[in-house]
Amino acid sequence: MTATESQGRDPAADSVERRIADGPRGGARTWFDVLEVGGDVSPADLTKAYERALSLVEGRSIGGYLMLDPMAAESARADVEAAYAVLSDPERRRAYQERLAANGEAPPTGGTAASAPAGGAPDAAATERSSGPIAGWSAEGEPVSGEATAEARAILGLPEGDASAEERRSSQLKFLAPDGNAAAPPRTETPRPGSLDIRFAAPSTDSGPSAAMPASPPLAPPVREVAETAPSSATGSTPPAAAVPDDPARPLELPEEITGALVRELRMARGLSIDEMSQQTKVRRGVLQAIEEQDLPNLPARVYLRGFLTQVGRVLKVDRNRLAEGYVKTVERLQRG
Amino acid sequence: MAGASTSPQIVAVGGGKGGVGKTLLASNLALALADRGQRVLLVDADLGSANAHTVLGVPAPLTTLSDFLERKADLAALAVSTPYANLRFVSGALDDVGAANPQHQSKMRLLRKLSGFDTDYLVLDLGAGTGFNTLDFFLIASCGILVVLPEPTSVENAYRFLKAAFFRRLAVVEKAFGIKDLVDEARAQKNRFNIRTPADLLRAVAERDPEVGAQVQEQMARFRPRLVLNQARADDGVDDVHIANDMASACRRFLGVNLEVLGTIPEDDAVRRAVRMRQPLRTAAPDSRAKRAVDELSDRVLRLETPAEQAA
Ligand SMILES: Nc1ncnc2c1ncn2[C@@H]1O[C@H](COP(=O)(O)OP(=O)(O)OP(=O)(O)O)[C@@H](O)[C@H]1O
Ligand SMILES: [Mg+2]
Repeated sequence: MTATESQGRDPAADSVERRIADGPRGGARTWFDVLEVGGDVSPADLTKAYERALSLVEGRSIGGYLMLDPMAAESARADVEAAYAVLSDPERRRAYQERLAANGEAPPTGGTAASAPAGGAPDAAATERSSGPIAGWSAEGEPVSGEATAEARAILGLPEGDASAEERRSSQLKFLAPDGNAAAPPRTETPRPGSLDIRFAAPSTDSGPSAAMPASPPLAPPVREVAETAPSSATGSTPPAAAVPDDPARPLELPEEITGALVRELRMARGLSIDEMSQQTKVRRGVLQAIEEQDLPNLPARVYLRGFLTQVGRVLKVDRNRLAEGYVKTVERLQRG
Repeated sequence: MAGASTSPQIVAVGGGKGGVGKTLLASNLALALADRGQRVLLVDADLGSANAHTVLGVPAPLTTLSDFLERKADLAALAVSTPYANLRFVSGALDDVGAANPQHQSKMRLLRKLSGFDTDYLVLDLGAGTGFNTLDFFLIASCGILVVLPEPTSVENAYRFLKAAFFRRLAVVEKAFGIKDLVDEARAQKNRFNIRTPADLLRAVAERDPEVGAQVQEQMARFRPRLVLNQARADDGVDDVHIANDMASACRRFLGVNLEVLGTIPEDDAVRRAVRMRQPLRTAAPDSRAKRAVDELSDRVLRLETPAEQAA
């Protein structure tokens, strides 16, 4: 406990308690990790580790100071104070250790994780930042250039075939690499100009896979939206019957409510079996079935679901976004009960 | 360990600042790995101002990466042999303004070619700066090395580089998994989720979607840059090494970025002599402390887990 605690409502102590309740918010998993000590650390070593951690977050070490922008440093400091508050109090420490053990997360035993001694003299390094403040770590994000999914996977070194990953995930990932790139071996030989720019949310592919995409379009929503002209009168109770036009190439209009039954109806209207649909979308049969049957427990995670529905929508030649969003809405409504 | 794997281990040497010793480390590390019996390809990927050939002591090759980028030559044809056993070399583009910023597609073609090149180790000497072209080479490496000097300005540049590389990787993960929307949603709620560190952001994603969050966390946990402190001094009783240790420690504990210290290279006049002689340390200063330090680093690189072992 900190010495400042006497008044009970000390804001600093409050925030330490709040952090204790939250758990470590930086990269560490446990309070032991925050101070880089083992489960059997002695009180003296604990205090040393605490001092060293403070020197990092208070800017007394160049290395710590320059890695943590003020926001991150403030958060880091809360971690350090919380860790020390828990670990320096025998009662709390025992309770905490028991809880870790109960969760199967034994704290590291034996020496400190980091061998480094406390850095130079405390006065050593409060160097002025040479330039103005640098934007911090807090999630503004950095500009993203427009890689296609397959390229992103190449940079990550993810195998395009993904044999190792567990089946479900791998099928989702395969799907996410557009147009069969996933199954093909990495394309190392002279790709067609533009062919790397096939995008996940690319405009409809009815023109065929060889259609050259513009060299570097922004990541924009699909260009060719089907007009949002839900017949204002026909918001009837039964969702059905998107009128299937005679010309199978023409887009279908979607009713307000998108259900699994509707997805099935549209598929049948296009004369596709579920296997054919699976082939054309590269979405697994089981997933398609779950979608059509609104089989909630077997539906994939929502981001994947959206992606799958987008593909289904592409094959059905309906407004893909509306299909995906509408279906997700239906699912959400059902989940709320 | 030396399995039938066809793709090479990729070591990239980068770091925000110019003149910190990237080329020195990349060239001499490549040579040390070759000395240890590995087939090594050193690639001067400093497309703006290539000079690894000088540090390595080989004549500037006539064909360079610009020829590859302009589709005039295949990568294998650019890889020239060197006077050193097991070591081949690909020169970066010399004074070629166009090649310094290759088209996105050309870069991807190069990245793909490199990751499939038939060799044991690929050592990439990167240029200064934090452009996409530099970052992406750093990200494909299984061992991305950040070189810093024991000076605040260099540490600050390393910080910028690290941050840019982290967010670049996150952007790539978002793209690969098709989850940009989800991460953007989390970002947009910065204040509600109290996002102050990279770890906070990933946690916010996981709160919105545990399954995807776990995948993102796994992918980001594979971002394990290593730190080499160059020109380290140990006078005045203050060991410069603590700067590197503090950087790594702060990143690991408080940001959730797995930065690790790979080692140090001492400040050593032998380095300057060698560079002036246009010879690698091995021939110009075989007994120097800097040479021994690079040897130790190469031993550590050899012992690093391969990504496949990590996954197991
Ligand atoms: N350990 C060392 N001891 C003494 N001098 C060194 C050391 N390391 C590097 N130097 C000096 O710094 C110079 C610059 O090194 P190097 O060319 O490797 O930097 P770089 O990071 O590749 O630069 P650039 O960003 O311009 O590519 C070397 O030529 C050498 O004179
Ligand atoms: Mg250089």
